[in-house]
Amino acid sequence: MTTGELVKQLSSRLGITQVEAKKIIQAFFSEISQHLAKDKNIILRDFGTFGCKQVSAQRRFMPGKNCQYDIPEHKRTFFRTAKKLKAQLNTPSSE
Amino acid sequence: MTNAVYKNALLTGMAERHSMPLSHVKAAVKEVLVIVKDGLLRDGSVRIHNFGTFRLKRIAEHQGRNPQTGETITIKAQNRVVFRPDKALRELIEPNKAKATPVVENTGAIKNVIADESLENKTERQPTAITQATPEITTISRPEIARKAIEAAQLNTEQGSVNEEDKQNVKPRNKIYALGAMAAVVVALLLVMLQNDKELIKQPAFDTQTITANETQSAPAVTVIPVALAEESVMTIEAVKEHNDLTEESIAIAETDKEYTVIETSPSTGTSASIATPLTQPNELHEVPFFSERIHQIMRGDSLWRLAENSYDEPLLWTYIYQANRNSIKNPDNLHINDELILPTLEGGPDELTERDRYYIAEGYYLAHLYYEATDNADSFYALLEAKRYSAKLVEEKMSSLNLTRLERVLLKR
Repeated sequence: MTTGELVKQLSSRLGITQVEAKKIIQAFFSEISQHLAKDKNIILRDFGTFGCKQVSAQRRFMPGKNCQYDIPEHKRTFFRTAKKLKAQLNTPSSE
Repeated sequence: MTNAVYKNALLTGMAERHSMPLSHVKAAVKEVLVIVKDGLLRDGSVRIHNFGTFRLKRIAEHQGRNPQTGETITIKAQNRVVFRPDKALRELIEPNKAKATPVVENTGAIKNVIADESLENKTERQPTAITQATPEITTISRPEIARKAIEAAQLNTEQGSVNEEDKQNVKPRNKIYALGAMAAVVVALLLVMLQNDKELIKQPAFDTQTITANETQSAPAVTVIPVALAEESVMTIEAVKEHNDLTEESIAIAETDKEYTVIETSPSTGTSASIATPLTQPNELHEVPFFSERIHQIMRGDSLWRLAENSYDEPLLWTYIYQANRNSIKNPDNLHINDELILPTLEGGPDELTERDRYYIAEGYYLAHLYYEATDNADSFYALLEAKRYSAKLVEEKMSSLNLTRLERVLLKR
Protein backbone atom coordinates (compact mmCIF):
# COMPACT_ATOMS: atom_id res chain seq x y z
CA MET A 1 0.00 0.00 0.00
CA THR A 2 1.23 3.47 -0.86
CA THR A 3 0.15 7.01 -0.01
CA GLY A 4 -2.03 7.22 -3.11
CA GLU A 5 -4.10 4.23 -2.10
CA LEU A 6 -4.31 5.51 1.45
CA VAL A 7 -5.68 8.79 0.14
CA LYS A 8 -8.30 7.03 -2.00
CA GLN A 9 -9.50 4.83 0.84
CA LEU A 10 -9.69 7.74 3.27
CA SER A 11 -11.65 9.90 0.86
CA SER A 12 -14.09 7.11 0.17
CA ARG A 13 -14.53 6.28 3.85
CA LEU A 14 -15.09 9.85 5.03
CA GLY A 15 -16.80 11.13 1.90
CA ILE A 16 -14.29 13.89 1.33
CA THR A 17 -12.32 14.82 -1.75
CA GLN A 18 -8.95 13.18 -2.40
CA VAL A 19 -7.23 16.58 -2.18
CA GLU A 20 -8.56 17.08 1.32
CA ALA A 21 -7.69 13.55 2.32
CA LYS A 22 -4.15 13.97 1.02
CA LYS A 23 -3.79 17.22 2.91
CA ILE A 24 -4.86 15.58 6.17
CA ILE A 25 -2.56 12.59 5.70
CA GLN A 26 0.44 14.75 4.83
CA ALA A 27 -0.28 17.06 7.76
CA PHE A 28 -0.56 14.14 10.16
CA PHE A 29 2.71 12.43 9.21
CA SER A 30 4.64 15.68 8.92
CA GLU A 31 3.40 16.56 12.42
CA ILE A 32 4.87 13.30 13.70
CA SER A 33 8.11 14.07 11.84
CA GLN A 34 8.34 17.51 13.40
CA HIS A 35 7.99 16.08 16.88
CA LEU A 36 10.53 13.35 16.13
CA ALA A 37 13.00 16.00 15.04
CA LYS A 38 12.55 17.63 18.46
CA ASP A 39 13.50 14.33 20.17
CA LYS A 40 9.97 13.65 21.33
CA ASN A 41 8.33 10.27 21.62
CA ILE A 42 4.96 10.16 19.88
CA ILE A 43 2.56 7.77 21.51
CA LEU A 44 -0.49 6.78 19.48
CA ARG A 45 -2.67 4.64 21.69
CA ASP A 46 -3.45 1.19 20.29
CA PHE A 47 -1.18 1.80 17.36
CA GLY A 48 2.38 2.31 18.59
CA THR A 49 5.15 4.64 19.62
CA PHE A 50 7.52 6.57 17.40
CA GLY A 51 10.79 7.70 18.91
CA CYS A 52 14.45 8.44 18.47
CA LYS A 53 17.37 6.78 20.15
CA GLN A 54 20.87 8.11 20.45
CA VAL A 55 23.37 5.50 19.30
CA SER A 56 26.93 5.91 20.52
CA ALA A 57 29.95 5.72 18.26
CA GLN A 58 31.05 2.22 17.33
CA ARG A 59 33.68 0.43 15.37
CA ARG A 60 32.20 -2.15 13.10
CA PHE A 61 33.44 -4.55 10.49
CA MET A 62 31.78 -4.04 7.13
CA PRO A 63 31.76 -7.35 5.30
CA GLY A 64 31.14 -5.69 1.93
CA LYS A 65 34.11 -3.38 2.24
CA ASN A 66 36.19 -5.97 4.10
CA CYS A 67 37.54 -3.47 6.58
CA GLN A 68 36.64 -1.85 9.86
CA TYR A 69 34.66 1.36 9.97
CA ASP A 70 34.35 4.03 12.60
CA ILE A 71 30.66 4.74 12.87
CA PRO A 72 30.04 8.14 14.50
CA GLU A 73 27.29 8.60 17.02
CA HIS A 74 23.91 9.08 15.42
CA LYS A 75 20.18 8.81 15.99
CA ARG A 76 18.06 5.84 15.20
CA THR A 77 14.32 6.12 14.65
CA PHE A 78 12.22 3.31 16.03
CA PHE A 79 8.61 2.27 16.03
CA ARG A 80 7.30 0.15 18.86
CA THR A 81 4.07 -1.60 18.02
CA ALA A 82 1.25 -1.34 20.53
CA LYS A 83 0.01 -4.54 22.08
CA LYS A 84 -3.40 -4.21 20.57
CA LEU A 85 -2.11 -3.68 17.04
CA LYS A 86 0.29 -6.58 17.46
CA ALA A 87 -2.57 -8.80 18.60
CA GLN A 88 -4.65 -7.72 15.63
CA LEU A 89 -1.83 -8.49 13.25
CA ASN A 90 -1.33 -11.91 14.81
CA THR A 91 -4.91 -13.17 14.81
CA PRO A 92 -5.27 -16.60 13.20
CA SER A 93 -7.21 -15.09 10.32
CA SER A 94 -4.24 -12.93 9.41
CA GLU A 95 -1.90 -15.86 8.92
CA MET B 1 7.61 10.69 30.40
CA THR B 2 8.34 14.33 29.88
CA ASN B 3 9.25 14.17 26.23
CA ALA B 4 6.24 12.06 25.23
CA VAL B 5 3.57 13.50 23.00
CA TYR B 6 0.18 11.85 23.02
CA LYS B 7 -2.38 11.71 20.28
CA ASN B 8 -4.52 14.49 21.69
CA ALA B 9 -1.71 17.02 21.93
CA LEU B 10 -0.43 16.02 18.54
CA LEU B 11 -3.79 16.46 16.87
CA THR B 12 -4.65 19.76 18.52
CA GLY B 13 -1.31 21.16 17.38
CA MET B 14 -1.95 19.84 13.90
CA ALA B 15 -5.45 21.28 13.75
CA GLU B 16 -4.21 24.69 14.85
CA ARG B 17 -1.37 24.76 12.40
CA HIS B 18 -3.45 23.79 9.40
CA SER B 19 -6.63 25.58 10.61
CA MET B 20 -8.81 22.50 10.48
CA PRO B 21 -11.59 21.56 12.86
CA LEU B 22 -10.23 19.27 15.60
CA SER B 23 -13.11 16.84 15.47
CA HIS B 24 -12.63 16.44 11.76
CA VAL B 25 -8.93 15.77 12.20
CA LYS B 26 -9.51 13.23 14.97
CA ALA B 27 -12.00 11.27 12.93
CA ALA B 28 -9.70 11.31 9.91
CA VAL B 29 -6.62 10.18 11.82
CA LYS B 30 -8.54 7.36 13.44
CA GLU B 31 -9.49 6.16 9.98
CA VAL B 32 -5.90 6.58 8.73
CA LEU B 33 -4.55 4.30 11.45
CA VAL B 34 -7.16 1.67 10.68
CA ILE B 35 -6.36 1.86 6.97
CA VAL B 36 -2.64 1.45 7.74
CA LYS B 37 -3.40 -1.65 9.81
CA ASP B 38 -5.58 -3.11 7.05
CA GLY B 39 -2.92 -2.30 4.50
CA LEU B 40 -0.30 -4.12 6.58
CA LEU B 41 -2.51 -7.16 6.79
CA ARG B 42 -3.34 -7.09 3.11
CA ASP B 43 -0.02 -6.14 1.45
CA GLY B 44 2.48 -6.64 4.23
CA SER B 45 3.83 -3.13 3.77
CA VAL B 46 2.58 0.44 3.83
CA ARG B 47 4.75 3.13 2.32
CA ILE B 48 4.05 6.73 3.20
CA HIS B 49 5.77 9.35 1.13
CA ASN B 50 8.24 11.58 3.00
CA PHE B 51 7.72 9.59 6.16
CA GLY B 52 8.69 5.94 5.98
CA THR B 53 7.66 2.36 5.42
CA PHE B 54 5.83 0.06 7.78
CA ARG B 55 6.58 -3.54 6.98
CA LEU B 56 5.20 -6.72 8.42
CA LYS B 57 7.98 -9.12 9.25
CA ARG B 58 7.38 -12.77 9.90
CA ILE B 59 9.41 -14.08 12.80
CA ALA B 60 9.74 -17.86 12.89
CA GLU B 61 9.31 -19.88 16.03
CA HIS B 62 12.52 -19.80 18.06
CA GLN B 63 14.01 -20.52 21.46
CA GLY B 64 14.36 -17.74 23.98
CA ARG B 65 15.16 -17.41 27.64
CA ASN B 66 13.36 -15.90 30.52
CA PRO B 67 15.81 -13.21 31.62
CA GLN B 68 14.83 -13.58 35.28
CA THR B 69 14.87 -17.34 35.71
CA GLY B 70 17.05 -18.32 32.77
CA GLU B 71 14.75 -21.12 31.67
CA THR B 72 14.28 -21.81 27.99
CA ILE B 73 11.00 -20.79 26.43
CA THR B 74 9.69 -21.44 22.98
CA ILE B 75 8.63 -18.18 21.39
CA LYS B 76 5.80 -18.67 18.92
CA ALA B 77 5.99 -17.55 15.33
CA GLN B 78 4.62 -14.04 15.00
CA ASN B 79 4.28 -10.96 12.83
CA ARG B 80 6.21 -7.87 13.83
CA VAL B 81 5.93 -4.37 12.46
CA VAL B 82 9.21 -2.90 11.29
CA PHE B 83 9.39 0.80 10.56
CA ARG B 84 12.07 2.23 8.33
CA PRO B 85 12.18 6.03 8.12
CA ASP B 86 12.34 7.65 4.71
CA LYS B 87 15.38 9.61 3.59
CA ALA B 88 13.44 12.84 4.08
CA LEU B 89 12.62 11.92 7.68
CA ARG B 90 16.14 10.79 8.43
CA GLU B 91 17.54 14.07 7.15
CA LEU B 92 14.98 16.02 9.12
CA ILE B 93 15.95 14.24 12.34
CA GLU B 94 19.68 14.40 11.77
CA PRO B 95 20.56 17.04 9.16
CA ASN B 96 24.35 16.77 9.32
CA LYS B 97 24.86 13.11 9.84
CA ALA B 98 28.55 12.19 9.72
CA LYS B 99 29.47 9.32 7.49
CA ALA B 100 31.19 6.16 8.60
CA THR B 101 34.89 6.22 7.83
CA PRO B 102 37.22 3.30 7.35
CA VAL B 103 39.60 2.87 10.26
CA VAL B 104 42.86 2.46 8.35
CA GLU B 105 43.40 2.00 4.69
CA ASN B 106 46.13 -0.55 4.37
CA THR B 107 47.85 0.68 1.28
CA GLY B 108 50.92 -0.90 -0.16
CA ALA B 109 53.13 1.99 0.81
CA ILE B 110 52.81 1.30 4.51
CA LYS B 111 53.40 -2.41 4.16
CA ASN B 112 56.80 -1.85 2.59
CA VAL B 113 58.36 -0.80 5.87
CA ILE B 114 61.68 -2.45 6.41
CA ALA B 115 62.54 -2.01 10.03
CA ASP B 116 65.51 -4.34 9.89
CA GLU B 117 68.63 -2.61 8.70
CA SER B 118 70.60 -5.74 7.97
CA LEU B 119 67.78 -7.07 5.84
CA GLU B 120 67.67 -3.79 3.99
CA ASN B 121 71.34 -4.09 3.15
CA LYS B 122 70.83 -7.63 1.95
CA THR B 123 68.17 -6.57 -0.47
CA GLU B 124 70.36 -3.80 -1.78
CA ARG B 125 73.31 -6.06 -2.44
CA GLN B 126 71.33 -9.06 -3.40
CA PRO B 127 73.46 -11.28 -5.61
CA THR B 128 70.53 -12.09 -7.85
CA ALA B 129 72.46 -10.64 -10.75
CA ILE B 130 75.17 -13.21 -10.31
CA THR B 131 72.85 -16.14 -9.73
CA GLN B 132 70.89 -15.13 -12.77
CA ALA B 133 73.94 -14.65 -14.92
CA THR B 134 75.86 -17.82 -14.11
CA PRO B 135 73.25 -20.49 -14.86
CA GLU B 136 73.42 -19.48 -18.49
CA ILE B 137 76.81 -21.07 -18.64
CA THR B 138 76.71 -23.72 -15.93
CA THR B 139 73.29 -25.26 -16.29
CA ILE B 140 73.54 -25.57 -20.02
CA SER B 141 77.11 -26.71 -20.21
CA ARG B 142 77.43 -29.20 -17.36
CA PRO B 143 74.90 -31.82 -18.38
CA GLU B 144 76.05 -31.41 -21.92
CA ILE B 145 79.65 -31.90 -20.90
CA ALA B 146 78.79 -35.07 -19.00
CA ARG B 147 76.71 -36.47 -21.82
CA LYS B 148 79.23 -35.66 -24.46
CA ALA B 149 82.06 -36.99 -22.34
CA ILE B 150 80.28 -40.37 -22.16
CA GLU B 151 79.73 -40.28 -25.89
CA ALA B 152 83.37 -39.39 -26.36
CA ALA B 153 84.43 -42.33 -24.17
CA GLN B 154 82.27 -44.69 -26.25
CA LEU B 155 83.72 -43.27 -29.41
CA ASN B 156 87.19 -43.73 -27.97
CA THR B 157 86.69 -47.47 -27.42
CA GLU B 158 85.10 -47.98 -30.81
CA GLN B 159 87.17 -45.70 -33.01
CA GLY B 160 90.46 -45.09 -31.28
CA SER B 161 92.38 -43.74 -34.25
CA VAL B 162 89.79 -41.27 -35.38
CA ASN B 163 89.39 -39.94 -31.89
CA GLU B 164 93.11 -39.42 -31.46
CA GLU B 165 93.11 -37.30 -34.57
CA ASP B 166 90.22 -35.35 -33.24
CA LYS B 167 91.93 -35.03 -29.92
CA GLN B 168 95.01 -33.57 -31.52
CA ASN B 169 92.89 -31.21 -33.51
CA VAL B 170 90.67 -30.16 -30.70
CA LYS B 171 93.11 -29.94 -27.85
CA PRO B 172 94.95 -26.80 -28.92
CA ARG B 173 91.75 -25.15 -30.12
CA ASN B 174 90.14 -25.76 -26.78
CA LYS B 175 93.08 -24.36 -24.92
CA ILE B 176 93.19 -21.36 -27.17
CA TYR B 177 89.57 -20.60 -26.48
CA ALA B 178 90.05 -21.02 -22.74
CA LEU B 179 93.12 -18.80 -22.83
CA GLY B 180 91.26 -16.28 -24.94
CA ALA B 181 88.42 -16.20 -22.44
CA MET B 182 90.87 -15.78 -19.58
CA ALA B 183 92.66 -13.00 -21.40
CA ALA B 184 89.40 -11.22 -22.14
CA VAL B 185 88.37 -11.44 -18.51
CA VAL B 186 91.75 -10.15 -17.33
CA VAL B 187 91.47 -7.26 -19.76
CA ALA B 188 87.98 -6.56 -18.51
CA LEU B 189 89.19 -6.61 -14.91
CA LEU B 190 92.01 -4.26 -15.75
CA LEU B 191 89.58 -1.96 -17.48
CA VAL B 192 87.35 -2.01 -14.44
CA MET B 193 90.25 -1.27 -12.14
CA LEU B 194 91.45 1.52 -14.35
CA GLN B 195 88.04 3.05 -14.56
CA ASN B 196 87.63 2.81 -10.83
CA ASP B 197 90.86 4.66 -10.35
CA LYS B 198 89.92 7.36 -12.77
CA GLU B 199 86.37 7.44 -11.49
CA LEU B 200 84.95 7.53 -14.95
CA ILE B 201 81.57 6.49 -13.77
CA LYS B 202 79.68 7.94 -16.67
CA GLN B 203 81.08 5.47 -19.19
CA PRO B 204 79.70 2.08 -18.36
CA ALA B 205 79.73 0.81 -21.93
CA PHE B 206 82.68 -1.43 -21.11
CA ASP B 207 80.41 -3.48 -18.88
CA THR B 208 78.24 -4.68 -21.70
CA GLN B 209 81.25 -5.21 -23.88
CA THR B 210 83.05 -7.46 -21.47
CA ILE B 211 80.05 -9.57 -20.74
CA THR B 212 79.10 -10.03 -24.35
CA ALA B 213 82.71 -10.84 -25.12
CA ASN B 214 82.69 -13.50 -22.40
CA GLU B 215 79.54 -14.94 -23.80
CA THR B 216 80.76 -15.21 -27.31
CA GLN B 217 83.97 -16.85 -26.21
CA SER B 218 82.47 -19.18 -23.66
CA ALA B 219 79.97 -20.52 -26.16
CA PRO B 220 82.54 -22.14 -28.43
CA ALA B 221 84.42 -23.41 -25.41
CA VAL B 222 81.38 -25.43 -24.50
CA THR B 223 80.68 -26.65 -27.98
CA VAL B 224 84.22 -27.88 -28.42
CA ILE B 225 84.20 -30.02 -25.31
CA PRO B 226 82.05 -32.82 -26.73
CA VAL B 227 84.76 -34.51 -28.68
CA ALA B 228 87.42 -34.10 -26.01
CA LEU B 229 88.34 -36.82 -23.55
CA ALA B 230 87.00 -36.99 -20.02
CA GLU B 231 90.15 -35.54 -18.54
CA GLU B 232 90.10 -32.68 -20.91
CA SER B 233 86.48 -31.95 -20.16
CA VAL B 234 87.25 -31.82 -16.47
CA MET B 235 89.96 -29.35 -17.20
CA THR B 236 87.68 -27.25 -19.32
CA ILE B 237 85.03 -27.36 -16.61
CA GLU B 238 87.59 -25.96 -14.26
CA ALA B 239 88.51 -23.40 -16.82
CA VAL B 240 84.89 -22.48 -17.27
CA LYS B 241 84.51 -22.36 -13.52
CA GLU B 242 87.44 -20.04 -13.18
CA HIS B 243 86.07 -18.06 -15.99
CA ASN B 244 82.73 -17.87 -14.20
CA ASP B 245 84.38 -16.77 -11.02
CA LEU B 246 86.16 -14.06 -12.83
CA THR B 247 83.04 -12.86 -14.53
CA GLU B 248 81.31 -12.91 -11.17
CA GLU B 249 84.06 -10.78 -9.77
CA SER B 250 83.87 -8.33 -12.59
CA ILE B 251 80.09 -8.17 -12.27
CA ALA B 252 80.33 -7.78 -8.52
CA ILE B 253 82.78 -4.94 -8.89
CA ALA B 254 80.61 -3.30 -11.46
CA GLU B 255 77.61 -3.68 -9.17
CA THR B 256 79.09 -2.31 -6.02
CA ASP B 257 80.66 0.69 -7.60
CA LYS B 258 78.31 1.86 -10.24
CA GLU B 259 75.05 0.03 -10.09
CA TYR B 260 72.96 3.09 -10.78
CA THR B 261 75.00 4.63 -13.55
CA VAL B 262 75.09 1.36 -15.43
CA ILE B 263 71.38 1.16 -15.36
CA GLU B 264 70.81 4.66 -16.53
CA THR B 265 73.16 4.78 -19.46
CA SER B 266 73.67 1.26 -20.82
CA PRO B 267 71.32 0.17 -23.58
CA SER B 268 69.09 -2.75 -22.66
CA THR B 269 70.83 -5.41 -24.68
CA GLY B 270 72.30 -8.77 -23.82
CA THR B 271 72.88 -10.02 -20.31
CA SER B 272 74.00 -6.68 -18.93
CA ALA B 273 70.42 -5.45 -18.96
CA SER B 274 69.12 -8.47 -17.06
CA ILE B 275 71.90 -7.98 -14.54
CA ALA B 276 71.25 -4.32 -14.12
CA THR B 277 67.47 -4.27 -13.78
CA PRO B 278 67.10 -5.97 -10.37
CA LEU B 279 69.26 -3.30 -8.86
CA THR B 280 67.13 -0.40 -10.03
CA GLN B 281 65.47 0.65 -6.83
CA PRO B 282 66.50 4.21 -6.08
CA ASN B 283 65.53 5.30 -2.61
CA GLU B 284 62.46 7.47 -2.67
CA LEU B 285 62.58 10.63 -0.65
CA HIS B 286 59.83 11.11 1.87
CA GLU B 287 59.50 14.74 2.68
CA VAL B 288 56.16 14.31 4.40
CA PRO B 289 56.42 12.65 7.82
CA PHE B 290 55.31 9.04 7.82
CA PHE B 291 52.54 9.86 10.27
CA SER B 292 51.51 13.36 11.24
CA GLU B 293 50.16 14.08 14.69
CA ARG B 294 46.47 13.76 15.39
CA ILE B 295 44.16 13.33 18.32
CA HIS B 296 42.38 10.04 18.69
CA GLN B 297 39.31 9.42 20.79
CA ILE B 298 39.50 6.04 22.40
CA MET B 299 36.82 3.67 21.23
CA ARG B 300 35.72 0.28 22.23
CA GLY B 301 38.34 -2.33 21.39
CA ASP B 302 41.25 0.10 21.18
CA SER B 303 44.60 -0.75 22.62
CA LEU B 304 47.92 1.03 22.42
CA TRP B 305 49.33 -1.93 20.53
CA ARG B 306 46.58 -1.83 17.93
CA LEU B 307 46.70 1.97 17.65
CA ALA B 308 50.41 1.84 17.00
CA GLU B 309 49.90 -0.88 14.44
CA ASN B 310 47.21 1.09 12.66
CA SER B 311 48.97 4.43 12.65
CA TYR B 312 52.67 3.53 12.46
CA ASP B 313 52.40 0.02 11.04
CA GLU B 314 54.64 -1.15 13.84
CA PRO B 315 52.84 -2.32 16.99
CA LEU B 316 56.02 -2.22 19.00
CA LEU B 317 55.94 1.57 18.72
CA TRP B 318 53.10 1.59 21.25
CA THR B 319 55.50 2.91 23.85
CA TYR B 320 55.84 5.93 21.60
CA ILE B 321 52.16 6.75 22.12
CA TYR B 322 52.48 5.86 25.77
CA GLN B 323 55.37 8.28 26.27
CA ALA B 324 53.44 11.09 24.58
CA ASN B 325 50.41 10.54 26.82
CA ARG B 326 52.23 9.80 30.05
CA ASN B 327 50.06 12.27 31.96
CA SER B 328 46.70 10.94 30.85
CA ILE B 329 47.43 7.21 30.86
CA LYS B 330 47.93 5.71 34.26
CA ASN B 331 47.95 2.11 33.17
CA PRO B 332 48.72 1.38 29.51
CA ASP B 333 46.69 -1.83 29.71
CA ASN B 334 43.62 0.05 30.85
CA LEU B 335 42.37 2.77 28.51
CA HIS B 336 39.13 4.60 29.06
CA ILE B 337 36.59 5.00 26.31
CA ASN B 338 36.10 8.59 25.06
CA ASP B 339 39.43 9.73 26.48
CA GLU B 340 41.56 11.56 23.98
CA LEU B 341 45.01 10.43 23.05
CA ILE B 342 47.70 12.27 21.15
CA LEU B 343 49.16 10.13 18.42
CA PRO B 344 52.54 11.82 17.95
CA THR B 345 54.18 12.52 14.63
CA LEU B 346 56.43 9.81 13.30
CA GLU B 347 59.35 11.34 11.46
CA GLY B 348 60.99 9.87 8.43
CA GLY B 349 59.81 7.76 5.58
CA PRO B 350 58.56 4.21 5.96
CA ASP B 351 61.94 2.72 5.23
CA GLU B 352 63.95 4.65 7.73
CA LEU B 353 63.69 4.71 11.47
CA THR B 354 65.17 7.43 13.58
CA GLU B 355 67.33 6.66 16.57
CA ARG B 356 64.43 7.55 18.84
CA ASP B 357 62.08 5.15 17.04
CA ARG B 358 64.58 2.37 17.36
CA TYR B 359 64.89 3.09 21.04
CA TYR B 360 61.16 2.85 21.52
CA ILE B 361 60.92 -0.39 19.60
CA ALA B 362 63.74 -1.78 21.69
CA GLU B 363 61.89 -0.69 24.80
CA GLY B 364 58.86 -2.60 23.59
CA TYR B 365 60.97 -5.72 23.16
CA TYR B 366 62.50 -5.18 26.56
CA LEU B 367 59.06 -5.05 28.17
CA ALA B 368 58.10 -8.15 26.22
CA HIS B 369 61.19 -9.80 27.64
CA LEU B 370 60.14 -8.91 31.17
CA TYR B 371 56.69 -10.29 30.49
CA TYR B 372 58.01 -13.53 29.08
CA GLU B 373 60.36 -13.89 31.99
CA ALA B 374 57.59 -13.32 34.49
CA THR B 375 55.40 -15.89 32.76
CA ASP B 376 58.33 -18.34 32.59
CA ASN B 377 58.44 -18.38 28.85
CA ALA B 378 61.51 -19.80 27.15
CA ASP B 379 61.53 -17.10 24.49
CA SER B 380 62.38 -14.29 26.88
CA PHE B 381 66.00 -14.09 25.78
CA TYR B 382 65.06 -13.79 22.13
CA ALA B 383 63.02 -10.69 22.94
CA LEU B 384 66.16 -9.24 24.49
CA LEU B 385 68.20 -10.08 21.40
CA GLU B 386 65.60 -8.30 19.32
CA ALA B 387 65.81 -5.31 21.65
CA LYS B 388 69.55 -5.26 21.18
CA ARG B 389 69.16 -5.40 17.44
CA TYR B 390 67.17 -2.18 17.53
CA SER B 391 69.05 -0.34 20.21
CA ALA B 392 72.21 -1.57 21.88
CA LYS B 393 72.09 1.53 24.04
CA LEU B 394 68.93 0.44 25.80
CA VAL B 395 70.25 -3.05 26.52
CA GLU B 396 73.40 -1.55 27.98
CA GLU B 397 71.31 0.66 30.18
CA LYS B 398 69.23 -2.24 31.42
CA MET B 399 72.15 -4.67 31.64
CA SER B 400 72.63 -4.20 35.37
CA SER B 401 69.01 -4.99 36.18
CA LEU B 402 68.88 -8.09 33.98
CA ASN B 403 69.22 -11.53 35.42
CA LEU B 404 71.22 -13.40 32.80
CA THR B 405 73.40 -16.45 32.57
CA ARG B 406 77.01 -16.16 31.49
CA LEU B 407 76.29 -17.55 28.06
CA GLU B 408 73.51 -15.06 27.53
CA ARG B 409 75.77 -12.21 28.52
CA VAL B 410 78.35 -13.32 26.00
CA LEU B 411 75.70 -13.63 23.32
CA LEU B 412 74.40 -10.18 24.08
CA LYS B 413 77.81 -8.56 23.96
CA ARG B 414 78.69 -10.14 20.66
